[in-house]
Amino acid sequence: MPQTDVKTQVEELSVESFETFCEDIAGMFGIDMDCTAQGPVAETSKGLAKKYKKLAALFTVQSTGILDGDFHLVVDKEGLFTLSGTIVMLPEKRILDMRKKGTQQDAEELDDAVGETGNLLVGSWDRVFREGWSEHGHFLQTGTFIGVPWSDSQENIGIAEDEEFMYIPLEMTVGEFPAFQCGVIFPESLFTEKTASDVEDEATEAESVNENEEVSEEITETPAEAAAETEEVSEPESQPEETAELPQDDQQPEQAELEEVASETQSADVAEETQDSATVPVSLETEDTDPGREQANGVVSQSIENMVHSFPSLPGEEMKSFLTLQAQSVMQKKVVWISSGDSVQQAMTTMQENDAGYLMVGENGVLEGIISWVDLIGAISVYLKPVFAKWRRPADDATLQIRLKVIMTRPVRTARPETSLAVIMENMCQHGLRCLPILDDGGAVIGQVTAFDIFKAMLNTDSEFATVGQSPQGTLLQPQDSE
Amino acid sequence: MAKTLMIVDDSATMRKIIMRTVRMSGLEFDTIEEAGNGVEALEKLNASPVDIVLCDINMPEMTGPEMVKKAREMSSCDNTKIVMVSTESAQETIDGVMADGANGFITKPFTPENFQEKLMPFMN
Ligand SMILES: [Mg+2]
Repeated sequence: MPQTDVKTQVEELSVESFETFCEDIAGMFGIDMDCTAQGPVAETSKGLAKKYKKLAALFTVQSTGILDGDFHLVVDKEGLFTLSGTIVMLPEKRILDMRKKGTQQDAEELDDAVGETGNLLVGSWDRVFREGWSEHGHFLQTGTFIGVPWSDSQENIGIAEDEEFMYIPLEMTVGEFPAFQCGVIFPESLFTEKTASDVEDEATEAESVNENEEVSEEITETPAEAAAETEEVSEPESQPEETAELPQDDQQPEQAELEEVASETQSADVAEETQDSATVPVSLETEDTDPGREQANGVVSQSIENMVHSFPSLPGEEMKSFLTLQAQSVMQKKVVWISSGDSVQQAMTTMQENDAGYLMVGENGVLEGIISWVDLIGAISVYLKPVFAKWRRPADDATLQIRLKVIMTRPVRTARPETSLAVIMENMCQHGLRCLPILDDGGAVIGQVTAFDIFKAMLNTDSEFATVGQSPQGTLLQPQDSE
Repeated sequence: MAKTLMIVDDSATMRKIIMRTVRMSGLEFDTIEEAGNGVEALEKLNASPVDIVLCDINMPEMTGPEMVKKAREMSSCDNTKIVMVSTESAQETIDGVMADGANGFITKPFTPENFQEKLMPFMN
């Protein structure tokens, strides 16, 4: 294989490996992750010292097969704290603090999590290269360096300060955190021609490797999401403190609350809150429905959260079998589609005509985004409410014409028909979602699960509030002439 | 009767992630032990065997596959099911360790369903 072809192949698989790592971590920890690669460049340690000024994590990978030798994966300081903090489930605020002010010591205290991040990263890389290149042998993570590797690069990465290597930079995002830098460093020695017999030996070895078992992801992102532009990431709000520790049996308050929900078929709290959001029409005629609705949703989410966080210590076979129920057994098969080019007003009408609380946004079954009634209410001017009619201006009416592509939620978190309610609920509360589209193996939307479907399944009843809950909106927004 | 579990991984972080995922899978264990490498695991298994061992592959001191071989020579582990949990996904690695006596293989990244599916057959 000519050297240039090898490099092209390496470049393609490197980008795919980082993307696969994002999917792997996203599925495992229920977060959104994405990366954007820039093209490969010739770089030196001196050059990288300018790009990675602060501490970084550098994972050394021993490669066998057509690439024979060591290469390095590098993640900047922000990435180091974001990735390791995420896998040990540190509170968002703590991760944000460390991204800004974290020291070498802070990073070293997380060294086990940093190392395990590298392990997962190298695992994704090995899988992608094995599936994509028959001449690939094996990648093994042989070292994790936390610090500033460039000052003594010969010692730390086996490359002299001025020696050129191939560097592929990427920008990665995790959840709502701002993007960080990462990349891969391939020393030129890795691409030096090998003898024909060397390659042959390794190829034979590699041929015996069959397609490995694909690990299915619980929560995946839609294909369209890969094409989506990078969105501006806002600073996440601080979250209630969560410890990295596992749920313990001593979480009495949560447990008590959950038992209450589980044991009383119609727990007053749940019934009341659900009824609120179901029967109070959310319309522009009702001045104060918006806050009320948010509050109801907040309590719904809190109940789910309490339940999810305490279920490992839950007694009772019923709850256990409930949590292992699959999405397909509770999902609504009817989903309503709308185009991303349609307006807010069209979406409101479509929701009301179909009695739907959520719309799938896309064309020809390709999911680009999702829209909820709350998204629509949030997008239109408050002056459209009748009570403010006399201040209403054309600009307020214009908000009804906002295109859905501007306000839809994306990427869309989705689940598989066989995903358990436990996983769905955890994802819902972690990301503040109330509806997850269910995708089949081909990526087609075959249904949706809303928080109310889960309550319905939990109560195992067809009582009115449980079903009505699927459509949060009540009366139709009446388009009015502006004065 | 509820089962006993041991998680063997050199990373404390990964042991926690595995424990959390096992709990999310809905499978119930009486006790969950931990060990940081094969040597420590074998010592603990010798003293008090468990029903199911979840075992990493790449570990210092003694790797997962080495541990599986040794455990299969111990009478205390006659009834112990050993399921490998690793980022290693090469078929030859999987086949090798299964031939040495492992009972299953879960690839990282994993999900609660993976544990449910692979461990459920050993829960009765
Ligand atoms: Mg390990």
